Amino acid sequence: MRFQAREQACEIREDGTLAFTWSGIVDPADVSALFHQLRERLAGPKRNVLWDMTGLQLLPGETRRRLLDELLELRPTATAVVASEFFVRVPVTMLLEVVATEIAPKPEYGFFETESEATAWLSDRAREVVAP
Amino acid sequence: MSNSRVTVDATRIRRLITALSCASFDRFDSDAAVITPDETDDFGMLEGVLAMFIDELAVARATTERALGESEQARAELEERLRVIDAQRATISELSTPIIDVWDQILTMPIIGTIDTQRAAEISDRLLSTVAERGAEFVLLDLTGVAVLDTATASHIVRLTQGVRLLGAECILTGISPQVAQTLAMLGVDWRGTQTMRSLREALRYCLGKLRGNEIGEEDDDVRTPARRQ
Repeated sequence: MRFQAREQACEIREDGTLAFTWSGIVDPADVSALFHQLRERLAGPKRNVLWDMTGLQLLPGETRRRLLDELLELRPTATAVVASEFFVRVPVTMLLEVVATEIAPKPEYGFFETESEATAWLSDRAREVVAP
Repeated sequence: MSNSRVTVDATRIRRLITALSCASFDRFDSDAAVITPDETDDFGMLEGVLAMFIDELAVARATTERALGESEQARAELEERLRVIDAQRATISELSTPIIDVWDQILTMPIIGTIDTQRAAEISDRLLSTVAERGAEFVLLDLTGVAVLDTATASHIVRLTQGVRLLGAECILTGISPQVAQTLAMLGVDWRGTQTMRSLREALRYCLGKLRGNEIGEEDDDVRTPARRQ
């Protein structure tokens, strides 16, 4: 199942992972629109989140604040971010650090060069949750 | 501070990142936003500087929030005052140009003071809708309270009389003082088709006569009674 808000997109994968693709300059309204569509479909256990940010140009402050509100509501178990650019990793780190301080148990996050690495890491996290 | 290399535990760096991240999202109250500097090494100085920076940023942010709150409250109060002033202005406008149902099918409107475009629009709006609602046959515009008449006010009055006529009623101007008459003569406003009478009493007698289909004589009590009330 795939949702779209202009350039931004999200797909609910078969294993329940929410795979987001953030592109260009992300507008706060697009974040709200995307999560609004998601909320109508989401139910059940907590989710792993995959963020593909290879096409991201800018994550403005207001967008980060909107994302923080949405993530605190979504309560992800783990977030894998595909991004190699330093200017992307810095604001995303700031965001996910705050998410980690406000959700218990503390959700993990990690940065990866490729989507396959990110997916593999998320699978490991899921296995740890199922069989701690 | 020495020029020596500093080896730092990764958890201390992580704590700084978390604290700065919390500060960037205004999470100043979070425990994670608190940096406790280790005073035994040079990295502790960086921790101390950042701790002080976050504290001062929190104070600055609180001051800004308070100022914004006060500004918003002041704006709301100002809007409320403007709303009250608007309501008072509307009431004053209504009271300064009352429409009196002086007799069956006869309305009178005493005009006091000068009439600017906005007031003219309000008067016109109220008078014309009242004429239409009540099916008035006559409207007496009494200018007794008008001491000075300028071209704009005179034009507004002429347009008002024209509007009344378009609704099928007769409009009569009364109470024109000698000074106003003198001004009117010089202003060059086209008064053709505008009926005038010396006093409200005379105009009322005329209207009643027309309503009854004949001229009212001096002996008609029904006419005198309302006229004497003035």
